Amino acid sequence: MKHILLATHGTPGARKAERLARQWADAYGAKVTVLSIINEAWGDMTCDDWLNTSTTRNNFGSYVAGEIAKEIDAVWNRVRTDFEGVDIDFLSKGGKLEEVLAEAAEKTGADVAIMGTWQKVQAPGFKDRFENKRLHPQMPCPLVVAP
Amino acid sequence: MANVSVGRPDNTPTWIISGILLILGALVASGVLTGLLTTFKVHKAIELMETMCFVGGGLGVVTALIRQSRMNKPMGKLDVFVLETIPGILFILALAMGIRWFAEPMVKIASDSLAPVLGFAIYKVLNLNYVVLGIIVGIIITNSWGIPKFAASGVKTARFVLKMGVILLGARYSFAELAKLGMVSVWMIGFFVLGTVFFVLFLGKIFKQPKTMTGVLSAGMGVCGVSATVACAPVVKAKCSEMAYTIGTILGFGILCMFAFPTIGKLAGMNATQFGAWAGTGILNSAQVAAACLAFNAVDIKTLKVGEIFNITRVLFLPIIVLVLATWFGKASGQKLSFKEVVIDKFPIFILGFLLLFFMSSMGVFSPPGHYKGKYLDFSYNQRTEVTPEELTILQQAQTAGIPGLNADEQAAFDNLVKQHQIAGNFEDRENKSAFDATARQRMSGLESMLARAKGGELSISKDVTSAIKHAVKQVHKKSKTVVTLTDCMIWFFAYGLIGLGMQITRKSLAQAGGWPLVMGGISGVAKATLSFIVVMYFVKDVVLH
Repeated sequence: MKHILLATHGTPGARKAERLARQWADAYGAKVTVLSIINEAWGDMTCDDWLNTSTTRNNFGSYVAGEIAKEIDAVWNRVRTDFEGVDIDFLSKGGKLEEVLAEAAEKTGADVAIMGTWQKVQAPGFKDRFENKRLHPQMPCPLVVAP
Repeated sequence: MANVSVGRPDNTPTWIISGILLILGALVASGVLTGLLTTFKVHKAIELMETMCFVGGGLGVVTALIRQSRMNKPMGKLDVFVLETIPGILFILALAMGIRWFAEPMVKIASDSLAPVLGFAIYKVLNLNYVVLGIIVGIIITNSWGIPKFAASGVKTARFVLKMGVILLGARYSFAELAKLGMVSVWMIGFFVLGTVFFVLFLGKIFKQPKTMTGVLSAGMGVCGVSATVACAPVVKAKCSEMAYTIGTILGFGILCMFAFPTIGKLAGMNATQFGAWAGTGILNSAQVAAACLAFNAVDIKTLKVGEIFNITRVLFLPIIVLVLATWFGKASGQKLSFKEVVIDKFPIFILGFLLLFFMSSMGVFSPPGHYKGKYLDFSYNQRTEVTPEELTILQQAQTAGIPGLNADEQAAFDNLVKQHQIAGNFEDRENKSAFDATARQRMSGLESMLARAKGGELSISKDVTSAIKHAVKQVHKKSKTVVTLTDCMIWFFAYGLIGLGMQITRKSLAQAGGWPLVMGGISGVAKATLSFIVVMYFVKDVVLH
């Protein structure tokens, strides 16, 4: 195994995936690509706002983009520390969760993709989860769900 | 390379929509559909249907032809702002026409036929008129198939079109009613907006939520829903999850309100002023205020007029709330915002358009002399001038029971009012303006005679029947052609805008609601709706609207 694709957004479930990826990276000397997916639903966040000017909406859009970038940066900085000594790369992309993961696996030529399990209690924040029936048919490599 | 689209969506949907519109226009013009349209009680809109179908279809064909010729060329400004927008505009317009003239009547007929089984009429309970149906259709489309690619650019015009609707509404107010409504709305909105903002901030302390969370939620719950969230989130430095929670809570609460408010308002026997005031205060989302008001009464725009004044007052509070939150948050974070950032950037410019139309109308630009004194009569067919469905039921019952003592003219006028739902000439005479007008005047005279004799004690007519006849008489008294045209355009703009806005409410946005923000939002939203209901019922009286 030469290349692991790790999907994480830093929640408790995803951190289990991070730990497993670290173990396997050490065991096989594999490279790890950390994938942060920006959910496409952020594109709809102005929803039915019709009162604001386009300037205000653009400001909101830029602000949201900045906040997402900050959150991803925080996760990457922590992962960078946690994965010290491992050959690591980072990738962020917006779109449908399942499509982005499958595309990233294809693009990076990953040997395995690791993600966290569905948690009984969702982590606070943006609530969206991978749907297996959508994800599985698209995956070009083995998929491991870290317990 | 002939089929290279250079990023353009396929032309086929534009051809299909244009074809449907042209075929519908031809069928209506040929008279094939007159029977069906009469059954649906929309036959009075035949001329408008033909015009809209042929103009829309023609525009679609021209657009499709030009797009076809430009398929393998790079996109220019004409493409981005016009050619790529028109297919979406036609898509929503076709939906609006289909919903208003076909879906709504079918829902009514189906609902009436199910009423004996269910014991109630679904469309009355859920107020399933074309406005509510339009939003529902928009939500269904976006959450099932998604907004079609060819329509994406056009759907974005919904925001602009809704603002145009509010601007046109400006032409329908007089100085007196704007002054009266304005005073009531400033007090009520001032109290409830500021009250809710501070209440949510208080709840935030109770539930130990971060300031960024309570800041953005207080703006959304207090002022105008998602719009306030969009305006305030950068000011209070809300986190992504907090914005998502707030928007989910607001959308969910708003959709519930949109259905619950009109039903509760009717059950509580609210008049137009009371309901408009309540919806304008209690419903968070500005678009949903318009929808609820039109759901309460889409035939007569009284409710919408009151609701929108409250809504506009609330929108004007947005810069104030941003200022309050900026001050409140700025103390902790040390950030300073300029006057431009807080007040000028957040001021809704379209309200200036509303005021301009109001002043033009007040100066008599749109109305004939004596417009508000009832000297101008217009008997043309118009759904908006009909008596309400409730009034029609009352009139039908009185007709069945019989009103003793009516003379022949009065009886004929009364029977015709029940038949046509409004005072008008014979549908068959509509091309002969003088005959049409003379018949209508005779009928109005018969009804006025009934009212006069009832007042003098010669006739015994119930209060409800008197009220319904007075309403019918009043409806023909006030219409300048320009104002009628502006009002009809406004109603279509609202129908169009709300379908487009419905298309922007996604299941994923709604699903973000949860946790303590949902609890806090629920408590503050219900508290505001309940308290404003009590205040409206006790303190807001009917205002005479023209």
